[in-house]
Amino acid sequence: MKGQVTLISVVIISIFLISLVSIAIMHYYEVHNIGSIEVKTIAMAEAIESIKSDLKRILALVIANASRTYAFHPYEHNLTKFRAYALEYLKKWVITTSTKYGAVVELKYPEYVYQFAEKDWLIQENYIFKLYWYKRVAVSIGYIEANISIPHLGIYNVTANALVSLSISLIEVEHDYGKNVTWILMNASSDGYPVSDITGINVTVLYPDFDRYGYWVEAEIVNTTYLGYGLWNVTIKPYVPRIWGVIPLRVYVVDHRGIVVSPLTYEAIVLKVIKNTPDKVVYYDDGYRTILRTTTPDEVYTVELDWKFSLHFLLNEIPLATQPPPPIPPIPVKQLRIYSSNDLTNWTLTPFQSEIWKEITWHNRDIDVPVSPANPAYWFNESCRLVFQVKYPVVNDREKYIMITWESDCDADLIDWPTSLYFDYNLPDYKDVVSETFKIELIDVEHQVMRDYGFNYHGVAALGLREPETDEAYGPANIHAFGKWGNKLGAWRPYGTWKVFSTYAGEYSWVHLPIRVFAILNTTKVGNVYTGSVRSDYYDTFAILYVINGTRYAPCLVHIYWKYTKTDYGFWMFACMGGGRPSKYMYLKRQEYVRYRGYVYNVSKEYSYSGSWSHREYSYPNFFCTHWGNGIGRAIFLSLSAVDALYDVGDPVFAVTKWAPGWIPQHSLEYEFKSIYVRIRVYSGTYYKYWFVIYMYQASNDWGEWKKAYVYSVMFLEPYAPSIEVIEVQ
Amino acid sequence: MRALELALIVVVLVLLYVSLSMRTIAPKLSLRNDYFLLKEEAYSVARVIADSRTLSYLMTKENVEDELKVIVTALVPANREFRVKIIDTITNEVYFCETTNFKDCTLVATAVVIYSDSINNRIYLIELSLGKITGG
Repeated sequence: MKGQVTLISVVIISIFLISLVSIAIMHYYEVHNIGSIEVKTIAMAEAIESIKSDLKRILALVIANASRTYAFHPYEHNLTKFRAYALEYLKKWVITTSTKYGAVVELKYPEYVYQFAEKDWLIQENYIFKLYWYKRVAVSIGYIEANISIPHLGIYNVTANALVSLSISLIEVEHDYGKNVTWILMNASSDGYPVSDITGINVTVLYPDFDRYGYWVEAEIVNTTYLGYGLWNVTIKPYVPRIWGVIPLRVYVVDHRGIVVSPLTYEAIVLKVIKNTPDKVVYYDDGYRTILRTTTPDEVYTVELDWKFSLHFLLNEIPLATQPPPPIPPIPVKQLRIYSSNDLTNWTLTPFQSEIWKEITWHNRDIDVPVSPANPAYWFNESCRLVFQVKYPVVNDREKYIMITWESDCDADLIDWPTSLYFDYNLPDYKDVVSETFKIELIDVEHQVMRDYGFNYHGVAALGLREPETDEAYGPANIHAFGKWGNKLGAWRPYGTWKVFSTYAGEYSWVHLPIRVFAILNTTKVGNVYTGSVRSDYYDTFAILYVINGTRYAPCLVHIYWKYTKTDYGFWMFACMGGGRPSKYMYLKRQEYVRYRGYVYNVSKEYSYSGSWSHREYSYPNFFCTHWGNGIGRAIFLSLSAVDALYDVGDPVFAVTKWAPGWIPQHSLEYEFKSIYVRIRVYSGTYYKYWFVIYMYQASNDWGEWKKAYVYSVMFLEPYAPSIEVIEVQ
Repeated sequence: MRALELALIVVVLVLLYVSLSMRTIAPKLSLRNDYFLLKEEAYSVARVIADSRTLSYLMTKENVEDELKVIVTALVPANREFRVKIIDTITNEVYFCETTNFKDCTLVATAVVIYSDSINNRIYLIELSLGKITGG
């Protein structure tokens, strides 16, 4: 019994001792290590959580910055730039967290696929965020990951990620004329979750102003109804009519973080460009002759489409033959794309360029002139024209389809299309605009002597034609001339400087224009190539020259206004030298009609440059002349407005001059308002506009080679300009 | 029996140690609890300011510091002194406010929270200190 009591006592005392020791150890620990674990735990948790929660906010900040600017700034549309800004912000954020939390934060920008509206939306690695806008589904998304270590708290490699998104899908748009309202059924999602509180987002709806086509008006939001699962029914005023099957609306949604997303109710406009040239051309040459236009590989129209969908070809403006579609929305030009098709099924991406045009008042007349190539970062607007080519290589090609659409990816950039065009600007010797067919040396105030021609033009503006491959000089083409100086022809010609546009504007100035280079001459002066004197008391000239990729023609559009009445001998609308190389020439004679079975035909007149003579003139010129031989052929197509101007102002002749002063071989083609042997008076206030087109073709020395060019003459005549219709809006 | 006596002596010594050390530990434990409590409160207030986007609104006001003082006064528990420092890390502007007796506090805990303001394009650092006047 005694032993049992002792044993129990020992056990109890042992237990008591053990518990006392543990209490003592704990107390010792508390005394000497005050609260370290708890402090660390709380600080750890709070630090990590606050970094995590702000990771999302900093991502929202960079997306909000980029999307706001992209949506509302007219030209800041370079997301790469915004990513650079974003990286700066993120770097600052990382530095702040490391200095204030003692954290080492490593940010990663991995690839991420976000799913919305049954589609995958990709953020590529290192992109941080993406904007997919301007279609029925629009998404602004960003994703980053952070590796957080706080060594002094014993935290290593805690991974946090942040997904920020604002997504809108326009599911259905309907309207009620009687109630004067339009409804939008849309799905809204934020950070991957349905938006159920409309106060968290701000919705703006714009509709086209049909009284001022191309402008947009903000609609009044009458009501919003939540239908569940992120579905919202937004009612707006007024009733927006359906055009070509769609109710055109632009929607901007901004959330509480400032993130913007912008969907549109239509995504493409399909147009039809119709060729209007005849299947054959006719002429009279000892009988009625026909040339079938079976294959016309050079029938390539370089057209401009303005924001009202009027088609411009040379100085023709062909309005839309149908009801206008919804306007091309004001989205950055760099995102626009043009596709072409023969059958509305197979579409091919087609090069185009965008130009800025404006209407100016020139001697009390409103004329449209190009200002410069567009800055592709700018919104498409009322000043923009889309310039593209439509090809009709065979006779059966009568209609081509053009689809104007836009990329939803706001990173989509301008396509740098391959082109033969370039501008060799290296004064004092080179001011050449070059294509595969043309090498035009621009002669003007800053480049007065054409290479290998040896004749100082003293600032007169002209076009020095050269062989593009061999650089052989054919001599200048003068765009206008008046009077004689002694016995020398063409005394007073436009004096000034060609302003050349060969690349895009703004930050895209490194991109060459893919379709055409243009040069503008706007001058109030004339110069004398023989004396170098300059005067302002003759006529004003506004000329636009186009050198076009992938075609064999170069048009020049000319406006002339006479400020003073002048009388002299010789008055040229146009004169083009041939450098002595062509051996034959031909012109289409207008007035000498031949009545054949009741029809009236133009007569072909062929001649040779051979023989000893200096200058010849031929009556009743018409819209076509050409010279050819020794491998080259060059034709001049005039507009009917040019022919009318010739006959309205004077008594025109077609002329050739065999020698330039100094017995330089010339072999020219000239359109004169009146013979150089007869005085002509031009009255002040006389105005005319016209175009001439220089067309190059391959030709032997044979007679009849001119027909190769003649088949194309009709495409440059006003009645045969292509027309345009809307097919559908998608 | 000798062992038992020995054990009893040890028990007496340990109890003596515990009794004596409790005098030191008790205030420390109390202090620690107060500190943790303050720290948690400071973090809560700082994160409420950040997560509720109050700061975005406050920064548009003319008297930021006065408005800030009103908001924080409403958020902190009673009998707490506070000091708030908002640092705009983009412009390095500092907004500062504190209660009159904050400098007299014997116990202060500080929470630091970062706040990125996507509306105003700013990264702010919220340093919020809560303090208590203890003892005497």
